[in-house]
Amino acid sequence: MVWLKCSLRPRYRAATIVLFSVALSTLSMAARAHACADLSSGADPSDLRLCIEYYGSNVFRLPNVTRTLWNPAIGGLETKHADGVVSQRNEVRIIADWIPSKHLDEKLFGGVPVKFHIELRPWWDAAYSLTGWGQGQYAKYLAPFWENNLEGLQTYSDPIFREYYADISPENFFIRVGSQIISWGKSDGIYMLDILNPFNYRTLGVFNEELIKIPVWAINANWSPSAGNTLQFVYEPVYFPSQYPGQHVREGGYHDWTFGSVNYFNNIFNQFGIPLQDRRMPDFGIDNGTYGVRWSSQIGKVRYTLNYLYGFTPFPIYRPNTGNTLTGTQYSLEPHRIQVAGGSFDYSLATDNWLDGTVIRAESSVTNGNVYYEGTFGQPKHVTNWGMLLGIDKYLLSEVLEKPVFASFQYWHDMVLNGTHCADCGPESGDYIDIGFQGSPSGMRGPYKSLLTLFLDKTWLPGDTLDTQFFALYELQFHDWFLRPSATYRFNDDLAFTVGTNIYAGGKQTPYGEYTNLTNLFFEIRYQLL
Amino acid sequence: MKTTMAKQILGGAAAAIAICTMMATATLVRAQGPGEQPIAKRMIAGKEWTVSKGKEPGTFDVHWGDESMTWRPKPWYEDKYKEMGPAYYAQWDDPKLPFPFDVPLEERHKLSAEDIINRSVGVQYLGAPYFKNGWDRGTVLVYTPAGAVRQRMNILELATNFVGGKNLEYLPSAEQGEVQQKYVWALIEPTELRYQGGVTTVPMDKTRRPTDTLYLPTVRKVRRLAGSVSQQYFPGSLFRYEDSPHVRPLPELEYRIVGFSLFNPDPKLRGYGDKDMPDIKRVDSAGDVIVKIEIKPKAGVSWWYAKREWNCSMQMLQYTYSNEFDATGAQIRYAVHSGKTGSVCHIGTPDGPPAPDWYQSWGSLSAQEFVSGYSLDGWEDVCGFDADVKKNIFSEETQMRQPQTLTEWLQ
Repeated sequence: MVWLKCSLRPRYRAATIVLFSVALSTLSMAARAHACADLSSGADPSDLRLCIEYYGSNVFRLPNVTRTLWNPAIGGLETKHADGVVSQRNEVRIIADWIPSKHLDEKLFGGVPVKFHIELRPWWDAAYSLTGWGQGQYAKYLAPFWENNLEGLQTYSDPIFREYYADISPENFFIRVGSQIISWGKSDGIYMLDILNPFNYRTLGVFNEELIKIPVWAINANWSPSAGNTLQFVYEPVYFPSQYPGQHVREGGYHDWTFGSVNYFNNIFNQFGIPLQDRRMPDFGIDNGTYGVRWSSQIGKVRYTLNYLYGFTPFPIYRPNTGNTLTGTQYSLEPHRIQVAGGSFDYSLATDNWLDGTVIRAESSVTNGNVYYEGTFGQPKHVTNWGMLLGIDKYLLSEVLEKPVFASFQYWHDMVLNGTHCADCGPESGDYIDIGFQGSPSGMRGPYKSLLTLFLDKTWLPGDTLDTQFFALYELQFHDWFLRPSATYRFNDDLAFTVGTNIYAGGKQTPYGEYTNLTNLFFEIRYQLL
Repeated sequence: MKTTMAKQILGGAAAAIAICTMMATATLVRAQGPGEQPIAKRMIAGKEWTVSKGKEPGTFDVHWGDESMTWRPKPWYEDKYKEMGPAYYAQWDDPKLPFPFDVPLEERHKLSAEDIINRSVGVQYLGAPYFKNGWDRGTVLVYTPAGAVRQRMNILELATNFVGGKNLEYLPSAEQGEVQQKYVWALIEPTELRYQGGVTTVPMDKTRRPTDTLYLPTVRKVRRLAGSVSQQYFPGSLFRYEDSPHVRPLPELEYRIVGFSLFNPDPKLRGYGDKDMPDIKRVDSAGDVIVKIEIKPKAGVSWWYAKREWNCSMQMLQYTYSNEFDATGAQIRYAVHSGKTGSVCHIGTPDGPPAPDWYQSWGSLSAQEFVSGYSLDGWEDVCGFDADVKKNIFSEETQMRQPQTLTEWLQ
């Protein structure tokens, strides 16, 4: 527990004290209660339920490596040893549900069933509070954005008040209003239709969807005219961009999970002067909303959805005022309108052979108005791209093992349908900058990009208390890898530990290979306090 | 809605009156003292079955062929059952009753093993065609070998049967005529699995396995489960999907009737003892004749047991208990089941009127695993029928709502 010996900087003490106060108070409550607390009382009680959980995640770099980063003190690049502490996130999850009593519901809502939900997640990443260690070395630049959500920008991208909404359920309708997560599609970890929420890429490689989606304010209305058929309408009045380390130039590439491309351009900007940025985020308004419509139904044994989204690019687009990305003196930063049309389906094979029960699922979308950065100059260009995912799920060795192995295989591709060879994009025009790009063509993708994923899950021991998982991702053009073996042991309802590694391999400028030196060991703990 | 419910209540009351009348004329010969004429008499599996008052107050002597037993009331028996003893079972021998009780008692031993399973646990757990839906809030406790509670599961359940073209308003048009039953569930506890839920679809085609979807609340997605999960543990418990909800005969297994006997529950078995779940009122079929069914995996199939002895009462058509053995013949588990009857369940809402006595709900299920030493008890806290739920109760939307109370569940 070396990190506990390190001193905390004064400016973070207040936040730390608040978080520990929350933790201590909940711990004290835990001594008196078990699982979620049912706080209902009275003759005509409302249903009120409160749950509190602690979640801790510690990530430690395994390779003994150095990092070359911009050092403003010397005005140049500096190579330093990269320490092992990547992240030490401590999170308290407080969830409350309230359903008014029948009497109250009739009085306030005319008898229409209503439910309220709120979820708070105060968190603190201790890695930034360590002086001279790991990410703590760069706390001056990173802490304002990534240390906790009690102050600073995280109040939006990783907020304390995470989800808070009301569910209204009149006959044949289900309407959720408020800050929420809305999922579309049939894919795991690949997002084509499932872009109603922006993402927080603070730990790109951790691959935990639960942690990376940013809640959005939305009206999510569902109408079910008959069993199995639902028409969904989503309206998001405010644009929320996805977040990533290094999005503020002064963050440079200090954050361990900074994309190579972001680090590359931040270094250039830091060396040659940070250009002016003209941020043009859409204002609140009907014209600037994101709108989505989905029809869910079934034909035979095939469940399917048809989706349409009128929204914005997940990231604001950098556009130079003149020339190209490297010569511009000023940049506008503005998301671009996109239209996404697509669908998804799943189907379970019913055969008399070994394929019986195999689930086939697919998702496809065409996005019009998307923007990719083309050529080594990274000129923003409008593209229409077609994404397609095919997934196959099956239990393996079920004839041999009492607890068979669940296997899920996915193929995904993205294809630019209107590729150009622009004159002002520099070398490699026709190709596009990918996230690992650091100036060379090896960090660029062509119009066609594809990857494969494999997920295996096997449980052990009575009650499936031990759960082992393995995830592998391989990019067919970049030839880079991401491997993630992990094991979770559940001591009881309240306590679970996870240990695992994130292993990256591949070229230095490939999307996952860029993190080869960030191959890590992680520990997670979940403890139910109330 | 109120009109519909009123009709259901009146219908249920009428059925109850008809059954009581039938019982009074057909089964209650007359109340007499010990050793006197039987108060109930039936032909079951070709032998005469009689019930007469026992020597001790509240007990009954039961005879079937050469076998006999003394029925003793248990603290957790339902009130009417405690009062009437094994004569209570007579209400399920009425040719006017619908499926699964439509086969006369004296003919039931001719049913196939698969048919018996389908008519007993198959409808008691997953919905019978005589009601629109059956619902409950249940609890399962998992105990360590030392007896400490290791895990607590709390669940909301609802099931509907579509046989005979009934209840089709709950079924997508694409599945009408193809699906026998649907079952939807949502977990309240354990907290780690809170909001998790799923839907089981049982096809009409008996050669096909049930299929399942699973709602993962952490990512707000519903996944179709790949292949049969019958052997796997149901989330949050030590029960397997085969215990519930994959209770219909499965295509991987062979079923064979191996005999009949008079059922005398062993109080040493978890779930039959006087102190086992004392607050959960239920009926255990003691004193009824049970059919013994042997279940084995088909050749080439690897299953979690090599042989299962599965028992079902003939009158109530209730799964009573089972013993599971591995390939060496060693017992690896036993399970004990007792059902609830309509008298302790409700019509419409959790505070609605009681259902007709002859209605059945799953009640309680206990199990002891011998390899791990773990054991568990599960029971219905509240049960009922014919709730006025949404037509798309078996859809993804139900899961997205993340219901946590019966109030929400039955809206």
